Amino acid sequence: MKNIMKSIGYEVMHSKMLVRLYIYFIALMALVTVLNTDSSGVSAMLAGNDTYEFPMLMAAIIVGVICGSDFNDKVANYEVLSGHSRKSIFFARALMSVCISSVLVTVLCFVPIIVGSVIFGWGDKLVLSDIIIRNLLLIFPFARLAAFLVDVTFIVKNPYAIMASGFVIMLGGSILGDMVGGGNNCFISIYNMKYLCSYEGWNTYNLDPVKGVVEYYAYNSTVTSSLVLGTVFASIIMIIFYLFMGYALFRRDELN
Amino acid sequence: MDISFTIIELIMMALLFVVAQQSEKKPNNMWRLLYVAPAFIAVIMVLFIGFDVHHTGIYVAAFVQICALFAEKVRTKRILAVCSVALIAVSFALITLSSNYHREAYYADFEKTFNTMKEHYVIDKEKGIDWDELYAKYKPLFKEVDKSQDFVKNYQVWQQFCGEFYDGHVGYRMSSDGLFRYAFCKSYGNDYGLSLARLSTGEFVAINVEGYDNSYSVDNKDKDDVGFYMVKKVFDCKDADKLTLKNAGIKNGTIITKWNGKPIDEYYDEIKYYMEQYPVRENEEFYLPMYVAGIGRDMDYGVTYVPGETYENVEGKEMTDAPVADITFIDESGEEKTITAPCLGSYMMRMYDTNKKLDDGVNITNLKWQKINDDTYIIRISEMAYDQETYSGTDFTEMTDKLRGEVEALKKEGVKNIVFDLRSNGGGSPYFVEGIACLFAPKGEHLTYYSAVINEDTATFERGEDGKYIMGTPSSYVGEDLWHDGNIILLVNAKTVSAGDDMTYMMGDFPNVKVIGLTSSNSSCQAVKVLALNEGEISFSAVPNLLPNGEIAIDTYTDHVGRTPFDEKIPFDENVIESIFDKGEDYLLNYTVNAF
Repeated sequence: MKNIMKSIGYEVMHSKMLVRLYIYFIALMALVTVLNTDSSGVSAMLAGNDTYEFPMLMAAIIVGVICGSDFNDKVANYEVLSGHSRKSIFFARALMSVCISSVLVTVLCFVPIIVGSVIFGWGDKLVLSDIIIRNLLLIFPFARLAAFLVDVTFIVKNPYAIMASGFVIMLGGSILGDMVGGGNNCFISIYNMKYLCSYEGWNTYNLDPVKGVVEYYAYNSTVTSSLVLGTVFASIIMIIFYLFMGYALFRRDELN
Repeated sequence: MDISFTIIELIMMALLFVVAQQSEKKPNNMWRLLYVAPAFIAVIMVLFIGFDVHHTGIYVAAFVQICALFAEKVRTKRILAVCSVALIAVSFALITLSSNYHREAYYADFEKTFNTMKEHYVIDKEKGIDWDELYAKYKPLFKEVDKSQDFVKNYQVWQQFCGEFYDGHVGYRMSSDGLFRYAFCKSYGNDYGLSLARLSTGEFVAINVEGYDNSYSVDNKDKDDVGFYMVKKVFDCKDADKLTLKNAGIKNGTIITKWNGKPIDEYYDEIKYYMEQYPVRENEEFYLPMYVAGIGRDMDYGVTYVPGETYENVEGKEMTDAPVADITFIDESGEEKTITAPCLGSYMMRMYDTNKKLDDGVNITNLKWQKINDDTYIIRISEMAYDQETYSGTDFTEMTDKLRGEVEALKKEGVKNIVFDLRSNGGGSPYFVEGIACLFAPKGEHLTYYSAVINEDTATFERGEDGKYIMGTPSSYVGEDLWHDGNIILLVNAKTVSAGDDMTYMMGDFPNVKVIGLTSSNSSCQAVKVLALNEGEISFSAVPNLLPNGEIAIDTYTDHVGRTPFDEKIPFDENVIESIFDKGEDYLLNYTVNAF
């Protein structure tokens, strides 16, 4: 299992596509930040916009590359033939996918904070330390999402289908969050992410003789213990659940 | 939706029972995926209807099927499928039988409203609101509503709560139009065939009496704007004699001396809530008798009989018979007589109709002119909005230019008088008001209001040490005095609210302007914020408008005295009643035209 993990690590480090895509996503996040931020600072932008949606797509790409590409070139089949246990084949890929994707996409979530702060300044709408903690906590729902995508990958065995499903999750998560509502909970990863990136607050307006109606927002970004505990425990439980479910499917799967 | 999901899960389990053997024969993931399907459906269920403890059986059943993935034997898989069916059946029973299932968050709505208003309602000092007292009074009431899950009671308690503020901008609306309409109809008592009003001379009279040509009729099948026709049938007392009052000689304008043997004004203390807010005491007193006309004999205010249902009388006894009302009146010979009027249905429809007849303005498009005679034109202003583009801005130049042209044309035509019909004007943009007022204001700069300074970090308006809001930017306009030689009358009523109050306030003091109406304008002009709740929404005054001396503009203080100009109160007499309720005329407009 260790050797398989090492080989996956090597593959990821030398995957030009993955590195290029990651740089592209950094640039995209930076661009989105610049376009959405104004003189009131990046904290105002973060208060009103979700920044976890593009990273969700990146997570799907990473999982697709790590788990899915080995079904395309039959590497997984050869590993079985060469005597590796199915358990090590599955868990090596699954753990590497979950760890690498969750860390990389969480780092991606810091791009708006860094780029926005450098160009526009932080502003005063949110407390920086709270946002750093919230962004760090995003690693848990991202890991949960990655574990789910691992399961899907081992079923469909196609990296591109997983990348496409990442796109669907990205769009669907955004639309569902708005349409279905009830989003502030830790039970489902996309809602958990929204929960971590949304802030209770109050908005009102004032009447200005020149500008007319001028809106004002005040947010409370305090990280509560229920948010932290809910995020961590729900994610750990679901990661374990997804991985065991994935293994249950894979252990008796016909590898054609 | 929850029942549908439960049935789908049950079908899934039956399918899994059947295919248990198949999935063992063919070790293919596509077969095994079926065992994940219940979990997938459970996730979709959580997404759409949220997490609920009553659905625990469904969640566990889905999890059991995930475990079935690991099971080797067909028999084990089938046993697990049967267990899952049993678990889903338990959930199904809970969903259908538990009284706690799908509880509406009535109390949570109160808590949210109270905490938000305590923080952001901007005229609590002026209105003399004691938040602690208010909380102590309404917490148990909303707890009771939450416990009983009674949406009608919920509506009534909200109306009562909103009434505490004496502010036309404080109002509750339920999210379900259907329930709201029903709650509306079930909260103002029963229809005994008439509404009540008080003449300026002090006597109480019958108005909108059943059986007369221009009065409301319980048999009316027209589709109204609120949708009462959709719930009307539920309340109809079909066997009641609809012409009891007419046959007894009661008509529009008949003097009513007692209601259920009690002087009508003795009921005033029992009326705990209204369908709208009357910040000015004098206006409130004008509408009060209307609410009395829904109270049945031995019934509390608001208790409404629905055929086939029971209701509680004043002694708390369960009643099933249709209620009646004892009406004492002066007949044509001058003698006092009492008749017992039967219940005809819900009183709400008649009261709503009475209000419309008394309060609605001329039914033409906003900002349209109508010729009354060679000397007089009327312009209807039903809302302070010109178009979507300008609504949230300050530039109403296009509207002002258009109106200027129209006013110039009227001058050329030789018109001398203009009536601004502001009756039941629900408000809108204060800059719209400035855009009109500038045409008629005396030459020079006119200051309207100061905004208050907002703390941008907390998005709240804070008071200074003197208890007044810190004054921000003033708003002003330059008068053109276009109608210098002519006269203007602003026709208002208690439903002329918000920016409608603004217009009355701004233009009311111009030398050639007179403000008249049956009632004065509402006196609520702070800008409004709407707070979304689980089961509805509440609006309240959230942005202060200040006078040059730093005081809150227009809104009533604890004395409940209107603070907008009001020059002439139209006497509410027999002529008004005959004209409106017998002849169907717009008496108030006719009176206004003759008042120049």
